[in-house]
Amino acid sequence: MSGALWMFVTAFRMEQRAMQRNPLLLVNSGMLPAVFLVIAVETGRPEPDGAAELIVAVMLTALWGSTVWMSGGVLRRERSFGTLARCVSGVWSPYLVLLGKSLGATVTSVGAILVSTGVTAAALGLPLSVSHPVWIAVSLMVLVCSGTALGALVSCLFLVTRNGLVWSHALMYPVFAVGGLLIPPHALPAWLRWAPDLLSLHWIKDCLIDGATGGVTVAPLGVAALLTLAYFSAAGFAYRRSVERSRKEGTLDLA
Amino acid sequence: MTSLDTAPAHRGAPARASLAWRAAEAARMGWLEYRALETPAGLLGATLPRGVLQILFFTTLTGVLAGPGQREYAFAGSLVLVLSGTNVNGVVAVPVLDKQYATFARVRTGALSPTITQIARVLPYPVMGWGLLVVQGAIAAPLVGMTDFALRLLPWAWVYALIALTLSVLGLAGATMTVGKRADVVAPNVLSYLVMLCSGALVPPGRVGWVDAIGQVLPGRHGLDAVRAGMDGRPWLGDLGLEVAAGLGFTVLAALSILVQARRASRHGHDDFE
Repeated sequence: MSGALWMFVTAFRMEQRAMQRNPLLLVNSGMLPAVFLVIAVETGRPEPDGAAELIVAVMLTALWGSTVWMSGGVLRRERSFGTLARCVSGVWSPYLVLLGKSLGATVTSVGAILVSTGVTAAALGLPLSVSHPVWIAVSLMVLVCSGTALGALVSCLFLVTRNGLVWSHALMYPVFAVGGLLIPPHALPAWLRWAPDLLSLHWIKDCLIDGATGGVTVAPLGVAALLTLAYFSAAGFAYRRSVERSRKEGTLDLA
Repeated sequence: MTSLDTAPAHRGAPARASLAWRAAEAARMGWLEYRALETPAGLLGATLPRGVLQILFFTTLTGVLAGPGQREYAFAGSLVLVLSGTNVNGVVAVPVLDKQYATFARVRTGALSPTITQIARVLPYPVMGWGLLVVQGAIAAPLVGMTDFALRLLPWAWVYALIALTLSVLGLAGATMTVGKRADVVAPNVLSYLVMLCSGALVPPGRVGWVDAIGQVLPGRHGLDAVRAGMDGRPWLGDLGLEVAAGLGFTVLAALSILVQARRASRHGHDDFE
């Protein structure tokens, strides 16, 4: 195993271990989807053919909340624990460590959200069906990649502010409100209907619903994959620039 | 007083420093702590828009799921959810900062009872939370086309002030009961989600039995019932009384928890809650 790959895998496993002891996993990946699903179902019980869409929408909404707090908090935690300077002064690119940790957090979050949503949906008597298991598996892989990229991108934002926790709270609801997940784009004001198109999770929602209900269309998955690549590029650029600036100003741990 | 190692009156205090003066000083310290945590940039750039977006999200979502007829119900309820964010989650900072900076020894050995000190330090949260709520509601109402409803709701804003207080003591009770068990981050978040689910803010009472049962003892539910009853011209004083009772119940829980914490720290000779 090459050094870079070994470092990536180590970062992945380290974050997974840390996540298992992180109480926010219970809150954001366990409670949030369960509470949102109960609220959504009991506020207006969906028709049987609309249940899959509701479950998928709740799952992806919870994933965004989890991304902001878990994978999005990777660099914030590095700075709090004083390990950020060590990360960026290693032999290999610090971006690999960030991606490894973000992937570890996303995989754990997605697993917890799937369990929580599945158990809650079963308890509420919602029909659970999978018409195309392979398509769902492919969509989930893209979802994990996308969550990793989004987490890395959000993480970089916290490098430029000392109020990471306050901004974490604030970042959740813009996507909840206009991300096209629980609230469909047609329910948004006309001048905001473009916003969901910029979010990969919105396109993955279509893929997962297709996998659950029967029809399979490749285009949404392609758009989601392209957006994911764009997030990876933006995160890499933002991280490099932040670290360069912090090195110049000598404020790496206080940036 | 909860311990034998109580400090003598501070030199800077007036010769006959009253309980009220000491409590006011504790509240002033709470205000300084609040300002340190909630910087103007964070308050205006993050906390304020978050509340507006919460109102927009929950009101629109309920309209999508249950029809436009339920939007007014959800708008009134979403205001409680915004208060839950700023208060139940916000007041955690008071005991958690003591834990982080090892300052609880100062609190428990002060001349003022630690319970009063902590409650006084919590006061900025409901005050600022309610003030922010009025602004957030005023911004969100025209965005969801509910200005008329918001104006009809305005005379009942004082009930939301009461709910801000009761939610703050809920947060304080949750945080102080768990601060020694390393669950102080989880507990207020769990309570906040319970308020979201059980307060009747979005899910009307009578739909799920266990949700109703939990909602009966949590702050927020009865205050919201009082607002809705008052707006419909029904009797609302009973619901208001139940909201006050819920707040008092959690104040007693918070006081007991602080008392136990202070006694334990005094007996063991340390304030290490890790």
